[in-house]
Amino acid sequence: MIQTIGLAKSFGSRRVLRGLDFTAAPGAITLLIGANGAGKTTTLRILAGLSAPDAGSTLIAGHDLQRARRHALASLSWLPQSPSFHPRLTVAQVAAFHARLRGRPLSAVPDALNDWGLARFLDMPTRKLSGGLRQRLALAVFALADTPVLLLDEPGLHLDPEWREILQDFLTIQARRGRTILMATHLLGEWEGRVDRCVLLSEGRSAGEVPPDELRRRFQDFHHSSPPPAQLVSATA
Amino acid sequence: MTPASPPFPAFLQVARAAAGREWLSHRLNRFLHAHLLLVLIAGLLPLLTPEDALARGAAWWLLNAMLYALSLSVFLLGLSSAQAESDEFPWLLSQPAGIGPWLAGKAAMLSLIAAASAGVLALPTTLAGGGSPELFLTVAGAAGVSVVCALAGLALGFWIRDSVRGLIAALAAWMALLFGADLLLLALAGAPFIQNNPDLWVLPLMLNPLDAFRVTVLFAVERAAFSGLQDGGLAGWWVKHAAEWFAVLAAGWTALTLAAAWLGARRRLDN
Repeated sequence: MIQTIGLAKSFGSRRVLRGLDFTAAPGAITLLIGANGAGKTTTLRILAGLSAPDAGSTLIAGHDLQRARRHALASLSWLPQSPSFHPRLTVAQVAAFHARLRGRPLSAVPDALNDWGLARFLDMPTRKLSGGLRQRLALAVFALADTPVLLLDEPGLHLDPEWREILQDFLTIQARRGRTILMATHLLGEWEGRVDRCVLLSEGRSAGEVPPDELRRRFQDFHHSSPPPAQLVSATA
Repeated sequence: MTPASPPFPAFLQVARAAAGREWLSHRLNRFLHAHLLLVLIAGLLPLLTPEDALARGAAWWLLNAMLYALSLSVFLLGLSSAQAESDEFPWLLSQPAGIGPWLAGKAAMLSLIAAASAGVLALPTTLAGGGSPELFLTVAGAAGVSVVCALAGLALGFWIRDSVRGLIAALAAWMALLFGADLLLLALAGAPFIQNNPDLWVLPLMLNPLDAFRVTVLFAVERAAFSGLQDGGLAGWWVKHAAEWFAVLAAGWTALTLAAAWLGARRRLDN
């Protein structure tokens, strides 16, 4: 489970999060939606331990991120937006390193790479990977951690439709296995019927929820891009 | 049922993984290739000395090669090592192990590569029959300078994200270490206050690893004549204990640059 209570964060005079409260439950895919600047990525970065909140607290799988950072971070795997890797290492070397960082056996690496269609690219330096292949490597590394909480920031952005479908199936299976999945994306239409909850962020606060089966209808003109703030706010009315 | 979290990897397990990754990443690193080429050329320079003076001349050649070329190339090696990691910082900093074990493994392997490359300096002279305790003391000093410069480059690379700015800052830092401190001291040498307190003039030289290496090789290894030895004071003590002082200084700079690297990596967390 993920729980945030009164999360606040400012960058200089710009208040990005203003007391954000929400919960993402185990066994469910929770979508974090909102216009650009609503605070989605900042929220995910705080949850991933990359940014410290000015106020509020965060529980990851029951561990307070500020007080029990290692336990909290050991419980989650994080997929950043537009991930990149050490340019001089190969696909196999990157995956093996991340497996070791997570205390996972190296025997898990080939399966993780196969699952994301990377078996033919094992010896390719990551600097030569296309955007889609790099994203698939990121997903393989992300899946390798095998944690109860999964955080994803725009996971389908660089993937073609076939791999986006595979990603959706993968996350559905992970949710069925009891994992907590929290994801931020602008590709709203594609996730209709595939997610369990949609939490709407507006101006750094939770502005209610959008029924997951109404994503396409409510944002019909914005299936593949960010909906404008006005439409997002009216969507919850 | 919610799956359990995997166990924490041990400190040494992460450090070993980071060290292995550092080793693999340098195999394709052009900065390392260029550095090794320079090391090889520098190692061959003593062979230009006539055979009967080979053993005595080697230290002089290696001192100058280390000061004016290799210290920079190894500095840039450390910088390139840091900059290659920058893409993966969002991953690395969100790991339960934290920065410490990863940096320890990375810095240990980088130091090993830097020190081992300095060891290559002695090979041509030794193979030509010019091996001597003085040569090995010089190369040990060069290894110390190499480790300090590589870790300084690493720290700088963590603090400065932009590659061009990082390169400019590295060049500026290297020039400040090599020439800047000396020029400043030269300018101050005639000042009455400095004339009355010569130890204050000597101290910055003692603390600068490149100057300390220079003085160690010139006065402790090559035993150049030094009138200050009889005058006592800090300079006299330094020259008498130059090798020991250099070892302490290199260890101190290693700790300092490691701490700076850790703080630089931590700075990527936007607190």
